[in-house]
Amino acid sequence: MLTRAVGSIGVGSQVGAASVPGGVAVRDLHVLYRANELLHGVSSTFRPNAVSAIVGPTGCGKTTLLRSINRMHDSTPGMRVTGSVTVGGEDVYGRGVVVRGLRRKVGMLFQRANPFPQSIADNVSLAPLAHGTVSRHGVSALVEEHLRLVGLWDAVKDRLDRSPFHLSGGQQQLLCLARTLALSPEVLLLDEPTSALDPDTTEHIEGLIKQLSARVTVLVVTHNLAQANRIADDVLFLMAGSVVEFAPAQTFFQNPADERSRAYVSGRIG
Amino acid sequence: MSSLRAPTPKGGLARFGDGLDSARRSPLLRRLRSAIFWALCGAALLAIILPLLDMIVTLIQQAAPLLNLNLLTHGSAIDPAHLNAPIGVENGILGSLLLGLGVLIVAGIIGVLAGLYIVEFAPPRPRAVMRFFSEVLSGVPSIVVGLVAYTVLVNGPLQWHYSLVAAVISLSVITIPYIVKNTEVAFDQAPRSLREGAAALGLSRLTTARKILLPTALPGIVGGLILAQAIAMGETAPLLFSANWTDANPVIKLTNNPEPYLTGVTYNTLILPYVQAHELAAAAALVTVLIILLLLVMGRAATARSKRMTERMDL
Repeated sequence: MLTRAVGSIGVGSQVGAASVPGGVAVRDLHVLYRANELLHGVSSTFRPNAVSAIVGPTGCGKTTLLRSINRMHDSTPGMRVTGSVTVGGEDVYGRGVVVRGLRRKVGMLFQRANPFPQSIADNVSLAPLAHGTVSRHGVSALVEEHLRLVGLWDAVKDRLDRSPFHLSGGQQQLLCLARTLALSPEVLLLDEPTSALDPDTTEHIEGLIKQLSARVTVLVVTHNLAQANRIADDVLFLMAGSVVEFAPAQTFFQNPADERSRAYVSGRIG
Repeated sequence: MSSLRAPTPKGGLARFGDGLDSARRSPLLRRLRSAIFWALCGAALLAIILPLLDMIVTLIQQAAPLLNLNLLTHGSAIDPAHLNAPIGVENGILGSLLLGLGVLIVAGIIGVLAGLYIVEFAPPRPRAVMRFFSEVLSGVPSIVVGLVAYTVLVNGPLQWHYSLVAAVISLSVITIPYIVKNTEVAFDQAPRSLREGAAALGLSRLTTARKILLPTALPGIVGGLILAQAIAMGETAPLLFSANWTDANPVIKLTNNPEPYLTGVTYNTLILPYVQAHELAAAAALVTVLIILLLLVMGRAATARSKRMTERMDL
């Protein structure tokens, strides 16, 4: 489990947000790949139970930032992370942190659906069973609850024991979302979750994200500004590995403080 | 590419030219080159296939008088006083099946676990060392394995004598590197996105390997086990020193009991001064080749299934 607690390190008006459950704060985060610095000291405090969109041009470090939060860089040789990331006030990179425990609390959804080669039901129940958060008798209820939650239940209830690879791409992504939610995470990291999907499914998933933010903190990387505008409460704008602006979505889209934000929002750059 | 440009003919075909790809200036030449290339490929293919066909046809011709059911129901013992009595390779087939089963258990368990460890769990340095040793092991000539088996297991400190255990261990030493390699490749082929998905859910490496990667790796692993069977089926040198030979049917007795095997029929009958013995040698060789062919086809099918599974996953 996460052991070392760190004091609240909020920034500006959001002091204290980082230490409540689901609050995520990064401070002076540098990420290096060999000699190449990808993030140059990023600091931001993401509000709990809100949707924060991370936007910026290709290669600006959006995904790198996202993957720092659940330590996905750990398994990439040559990646180094310095600075601090806290989730619910606890230092993610602190000594004694069990990465598997962290990832139970911080779920992640990828750009492309990656269901496991197991039955649809097992896809949902595998992680809760492995973490011991559900008992054997609780499995079917858990599976139904989370498939209903993502709106997939009616489509798959008759083929729970079948392979997920016969589902459509959008359905597969919903299954992956259900799989992640089944661990009841405090934070949800979404890495361009709809960029490979059709408009209908995208709309459905966007609705889900809004709805889910009532109980989890959502960080969503997107290159789609219109999407950020539709779903985000806050927007973090990155360029070349540095934060340009971090503001409530309305401010960011209507009256950005930075000239570069204005250029990006209006489509002149990016 | 300058060689393509050099023989460009003047006039006629030059209308294609004018800064275009030089090959387009002489479609005739290009077609000729292409034809020569494909002819060479075809010749190389024939050079591979013809000897194999020739070998099988020759074996069939030589073994023809013995190709009937007796081949499967009689042992390889030849009685010089009754040279026309029915003879066959029953003891060889049963012996090789028994040895194959032993290899499947011993080499299968060790090889799959070692391969899994190397590809999924070992830190980089031990991984490199283990890979290196596995590759060296696969390069050790089988007669050397036989020699070591003889001096350690058969007639050395262990004193197991010619035996099933000695034979299975020496065949396992030879086949383990193949099983390790196939297991490694099978797990390695599992898409990266599956590993990431599992890691993001906080699953342990063991759970990931067992529940998520194994289903995609399984056909490849099975392919490796079948390949190991084919190799074990064809090995002779180490068995001469570990199983020795008997004309009798195999007995499941771990130590102190020589065992028969298919290639041993050929080895031990070819030196006898009887036509029937030579026919039996050819028949045993034919059966060996056919079984290996069958095993390889099965192995290929299993590996192909592995590829198809990951393709259908569209990851």
